[in-house]
Amino acid sequence: MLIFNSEIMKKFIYTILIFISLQGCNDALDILPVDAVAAEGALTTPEDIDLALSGAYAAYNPQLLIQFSSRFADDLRFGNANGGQGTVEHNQTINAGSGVVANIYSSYYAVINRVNRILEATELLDQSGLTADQKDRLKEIEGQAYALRGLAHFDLLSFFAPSFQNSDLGIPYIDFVVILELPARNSVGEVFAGILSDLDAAKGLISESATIFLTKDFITALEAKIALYRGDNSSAITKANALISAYNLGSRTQYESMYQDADDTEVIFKLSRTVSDARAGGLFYFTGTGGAFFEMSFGLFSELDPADVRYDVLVDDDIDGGTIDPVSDPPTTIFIKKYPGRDGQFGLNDLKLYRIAEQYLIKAEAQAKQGQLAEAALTIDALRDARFGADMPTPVYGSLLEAINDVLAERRIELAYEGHRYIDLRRTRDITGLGIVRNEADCGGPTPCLLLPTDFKFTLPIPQAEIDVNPNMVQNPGYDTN
Amino acid sequence: MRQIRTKCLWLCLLFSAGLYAQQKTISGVVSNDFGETLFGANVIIDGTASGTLTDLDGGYTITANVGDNLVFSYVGHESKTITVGLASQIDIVLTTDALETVVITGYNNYRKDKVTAAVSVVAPKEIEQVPIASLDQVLQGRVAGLNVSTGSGQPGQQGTITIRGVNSFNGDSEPLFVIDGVFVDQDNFRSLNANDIDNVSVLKDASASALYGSRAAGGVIVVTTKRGNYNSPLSVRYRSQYGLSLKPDPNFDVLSSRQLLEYQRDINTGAGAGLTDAQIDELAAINTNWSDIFFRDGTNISHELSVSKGGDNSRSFTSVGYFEQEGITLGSNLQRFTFRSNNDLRSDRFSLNTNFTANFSKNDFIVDRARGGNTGGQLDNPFIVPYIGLPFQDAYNEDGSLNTFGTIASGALNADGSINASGANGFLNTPYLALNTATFNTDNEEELRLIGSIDAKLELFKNVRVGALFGADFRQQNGTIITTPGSIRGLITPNANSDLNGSRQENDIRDLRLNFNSSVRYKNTFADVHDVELSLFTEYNKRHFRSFGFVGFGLNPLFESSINGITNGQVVELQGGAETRPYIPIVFGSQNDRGLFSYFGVLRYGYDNKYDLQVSVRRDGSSFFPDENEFGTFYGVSGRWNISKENFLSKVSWLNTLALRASYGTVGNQELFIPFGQFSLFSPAIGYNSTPAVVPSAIGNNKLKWEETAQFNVGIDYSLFDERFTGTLDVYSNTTKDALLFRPVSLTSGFATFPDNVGKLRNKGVDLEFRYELIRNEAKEFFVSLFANANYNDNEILSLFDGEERVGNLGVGQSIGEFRLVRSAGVNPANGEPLYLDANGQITNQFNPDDAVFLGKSNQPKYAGGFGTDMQYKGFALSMLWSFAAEQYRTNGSLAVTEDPSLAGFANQSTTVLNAWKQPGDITDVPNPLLGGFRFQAGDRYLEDASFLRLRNIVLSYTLKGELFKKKPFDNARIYVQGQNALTFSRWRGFDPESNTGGSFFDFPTARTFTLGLDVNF
Repeated sequence: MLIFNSEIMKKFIYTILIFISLQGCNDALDILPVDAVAAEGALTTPEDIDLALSGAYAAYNPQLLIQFSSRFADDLRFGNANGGQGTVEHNQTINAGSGVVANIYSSYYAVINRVNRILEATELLDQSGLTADQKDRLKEIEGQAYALRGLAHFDLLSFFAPSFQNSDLGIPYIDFVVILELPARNSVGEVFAGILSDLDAAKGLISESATIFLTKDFITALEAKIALYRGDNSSAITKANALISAYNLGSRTQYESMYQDADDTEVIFKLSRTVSDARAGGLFYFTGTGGAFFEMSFGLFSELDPADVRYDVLVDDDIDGGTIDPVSDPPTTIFIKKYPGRDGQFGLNDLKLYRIAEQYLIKAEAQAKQGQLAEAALTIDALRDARFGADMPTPVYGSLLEAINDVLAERRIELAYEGHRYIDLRRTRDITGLGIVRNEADCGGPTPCLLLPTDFKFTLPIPQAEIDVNPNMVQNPGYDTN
Repeated sequence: MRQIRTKCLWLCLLFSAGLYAQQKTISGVVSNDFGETLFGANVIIDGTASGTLTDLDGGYTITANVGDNLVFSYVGHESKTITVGLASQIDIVLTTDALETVVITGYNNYRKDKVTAAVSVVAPKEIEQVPIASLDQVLQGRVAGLNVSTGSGQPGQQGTITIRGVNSFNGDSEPLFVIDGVFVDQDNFRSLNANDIDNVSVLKDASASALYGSRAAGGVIVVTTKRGNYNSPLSVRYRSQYGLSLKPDPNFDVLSSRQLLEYQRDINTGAGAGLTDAQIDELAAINTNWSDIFFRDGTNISHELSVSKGGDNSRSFTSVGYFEQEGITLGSNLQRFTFRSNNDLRSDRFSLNTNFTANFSKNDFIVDRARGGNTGGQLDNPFIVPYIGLPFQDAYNEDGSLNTFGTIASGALNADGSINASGANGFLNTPYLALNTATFNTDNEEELRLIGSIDAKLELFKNVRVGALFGADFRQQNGTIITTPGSIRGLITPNANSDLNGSRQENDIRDLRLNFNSSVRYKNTFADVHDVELSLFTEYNKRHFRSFGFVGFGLNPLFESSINGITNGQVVELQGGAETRPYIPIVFGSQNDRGLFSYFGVLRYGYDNKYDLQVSVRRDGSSFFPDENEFGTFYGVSGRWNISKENFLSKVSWLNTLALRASYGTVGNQELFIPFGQFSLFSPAIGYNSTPAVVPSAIGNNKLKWEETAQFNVGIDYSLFDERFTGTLDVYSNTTKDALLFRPVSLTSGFATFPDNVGKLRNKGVDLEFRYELIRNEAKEFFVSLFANANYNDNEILSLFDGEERVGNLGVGQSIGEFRLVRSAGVNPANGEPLYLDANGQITNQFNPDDAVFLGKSNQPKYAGGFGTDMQYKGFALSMLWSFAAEQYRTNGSLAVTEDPSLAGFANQSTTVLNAWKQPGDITDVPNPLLGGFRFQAGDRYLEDASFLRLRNIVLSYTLKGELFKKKPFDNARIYVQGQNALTFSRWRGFDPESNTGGSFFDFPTARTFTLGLDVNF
């Protein structure tokens, strides 16, 4: 039963052989990705570059700094729903291998990398055929990119440089697209120079005015802050004054509304957060269930005055159905309300990163450091009056130490859970002689009550992953015992 | 033997020259290797339709011409062909399939004495009816050098296979799987029926695997499935099995209620803090053993019917099967339906083999570590509960029913009895949450798997054969994850305030792998002693992968089990006074294709069955690599010397076979798990302020190329003492160069790694396999044989890149999988703080990751293998397989959690915490709990020896056969009891020492399974 004609089979097989050897090859070998696009062709139009800017902003995650600063310092205590969240930071057991440290470092450099890709693409783009609108937009994109690069470097420097002294070890200042390069650390002075030059470049390009983007006012605000940190007090005052004359301190109602994202009176720059972002409320709560794994420290709570609008903004006193009375009925748990959520989304709020209130505090501190103690007191008083909605007694400072301590106390309340506390304590510790001192009700056992001002943990370690791969990288003092 | 046959041939030629077609009558008896005569065996004159069947005593008489070939065949036995010569009496012993093996190397098949490669063959008898749903796991302990580690006891879960050590840094080290000529998904066997398998050949050296070129660096496993026999009567076989899976022995202890409460009081945490003795007495009245609540005895059921038959020019094998296995915890199941039909047609010059299997399986999963993106730490992981479930929590409601929600004390309910969504999802509620998820929520996958091939061969001219093979492996998987509105997880999905709760995820995958192979083969024998064979091939491989899925929110209780129950994403609700759209679904998917085009050839030369030489060359082009590196060339050279066929050994009567094999060759590896490593990529993403964005998503490498492993192997095959002692010994050294590594880059690039070819590594070792027939008494029908296989493998990283001595945990001079940790130096007796050794070996109290050193301990076993025995006395048979892995280490993350005092408030603790440091002078290895948890700075404290010896399989059977059962109504039947993983010996402190990861974290342990089975042949 020979049902197969071998002649036909022969032809069939020959045909297939030839077909495969000629056609099969390319079909199997030249396959391009469809879910992603090769980098070479990715940013070739102004519209592509615009999408990339959105991607760069999306990578900017200062919530990591807020998280570290509040957990590591003295404004939090473990909450009743804690299952190990934040233990490493709160118990101050960070080391070069800690994931939280690597997260900050890599996510910030991811912003810088994305920005540099934008700047590189803008430079390579042939602008001759573009419309005027496209050219304007490109200019704006470029300005935003420069400003974002300056900001990202500044945040990194604040956490990873042992000090703000020009000669001290800074961080690598990166103004090109790093791929396989192994950059070394620049000095603090060099990094500041890079940041300031980025901000200068941005100033000439930006026309944006929306507070969720980096504006010229933001640049002034950052310059004021940098001037203060570097000890250029007069410049800090000038910059702060420029903003103070342009922005009002809001009413108590406006202040509360600001934290519900409903009022921008005091806002210079806020980072937009939407349902697709991590929620700031998630720094303290499981946002799904509302369980609190961190609560307000008794240390911070004891600084608060119920007559101060900031008490209302910070403390969730609706717990257990009634208003707690901090005096007659001191609470055992204090839930944090700073990020109450909006639009029915628990814990979802924009991050108000640069506010006019901070400029008052910058100005006051700079004044104090310049010896203008009375002027500093007036500056603080102006802020306090607004927060209490009443004319508060003007403080009297007998010394720089007194002034700095009062400014610090004010900063602690005004800027609580906004990422300042750790930086403020570290940069003033040479004046105050204090490290991180926790209220004894907030610490004990594995949770330290005191971090000495001389402790190396006032600077974050360069992540071990970077040290391992990059021979040009130097570890911060104290983390490198070998 | 060969010489006799050669003489026969000469005689035939002589006779055919002189007396054309001399007819004669031949008679004889056909029996099997157990000495039993075979009734109904086929005796056929090859190439004709004439033949006869043997009678009840195995006798036959047939008339044939001198020079005719007589084919003797009997189902379940190897066929034999004898050329009719002078003799009129030809008695034949047919060996059962299991003993005589054909080595299948995929593209070509060879008799065992012609094989130049290091190949291990697993016979069907060894893998049939093993109550494990995943074929790869069944192979464990069967083959020297093949190590299968199982990551999970989930029915159907695949293991990780390594042959002769890990041969790549990050590339895929697993072997290539070929089933009936089809390249199949190597990670997914749950849908295949192992009972259909006829032969598993494990190709371990370059001689065999170089033929597979670029994908063979991890070795090749070639599987052929059962076929009918030509000229055999209809044979029907029914097999069935029923059994139970039992929980493994924990090998760790947690605190009782009283112990935990007192410990909590001591360290002032959790429910025990501040309690009086009387209060502890009261709470300790409940002492729940959560293991008892979560584990169950899972049932195993299987039924299988197979039919085979063959005529002169056609044969077929058909099987249908049903398999069902319950895991040892609620919500873990596998159900499978299998169908196979293998058909063959042949004529003088043409043959056509078709293979087709259609399988459908349904898996129910729990929230275990191996599932999806889980870590093991999910509170609804049932296997976390035996460790951390608080013993003073009551598992039962007042009415005696199981509590699947929680209590006021566990936080699930407020004091007034209303639901507390936060507490119900909280740590204290872990046991109830895990029960709740297992009871109310769904996570299942349905898989349709079709594998088919058509293989046609045509003898074009004399000695020239052309072939074409088309194969396809198609997998359609539908996953469904339902969080029901009423479940604890449903309460907060999509959020705690939405009107409707719950979610449903659907995830569909379509994976199609096609291969087409065309070949030309020339084969001839010159001067009767020079065998020459040349084969040329082209091969085309393509894989098309698509996935698509979505998560919908808000299941309407009326349609809870339907996709229609999902609430439309446009629905607006007022929440907190604002209009929100809580039900916006999430949509995701991906697609990619991969291709490979190859041409290759094999040249074989054999001399007089004494010497065999094989040379192969293969050129592979891959879509993975940039144009200039697209093609890679791989080759193999190998030879075999059958020493025992030499005259000088012909007088050594105790030596039956002795052969020396040697091979050298190169194989490649392209698989880095990412198909487009050559490109730097931008991907779409959600950007700032919920606007669209593109973001850089990978650093590519436009110089990426093949990873190449040079394999050298020398081996001997031997058979001694009347073939009672048989075995192989192989020594190998495999060196991989241009090894694929996700090479770390400076984090200032915004990335952590990029794919690169770096460095060299080497695996060298020894494979040993033997079988000894201790007792072979045919008269008394008493047989005892012992067998063993073992592998010693030494893995060493020879170089990395740019002179680097270390990258992460890879160090030059160290091995892959070696642990690099800070050495723990116990506990300071003075203050109870943990101590460490710094890099220089000095004791320090400061934990610094930079002090980590290589410890010489690896998660890959240095020695692994199996051994056992087969015994038979009349109808009784007992077989045992033990498997072992030695010098294998893992970190015990589960134990670390139960020794972490910072978690003791809500997690039960190991009894080891009772030894914790309490006062100055205490010598202990558990630090002072008042100093907090040191889980993240444990160093090597939890690195444990995970070596094990395991009774992998034991079967006791009784076979009813012989005269009594002929046609009454069945021919023979076998009943048996079987134990899988019946015994385990290990120092590992956990459920299961075996794993495919270097660290444990509440893994799903493999079960102990006991089954009762029945096989009937009609």
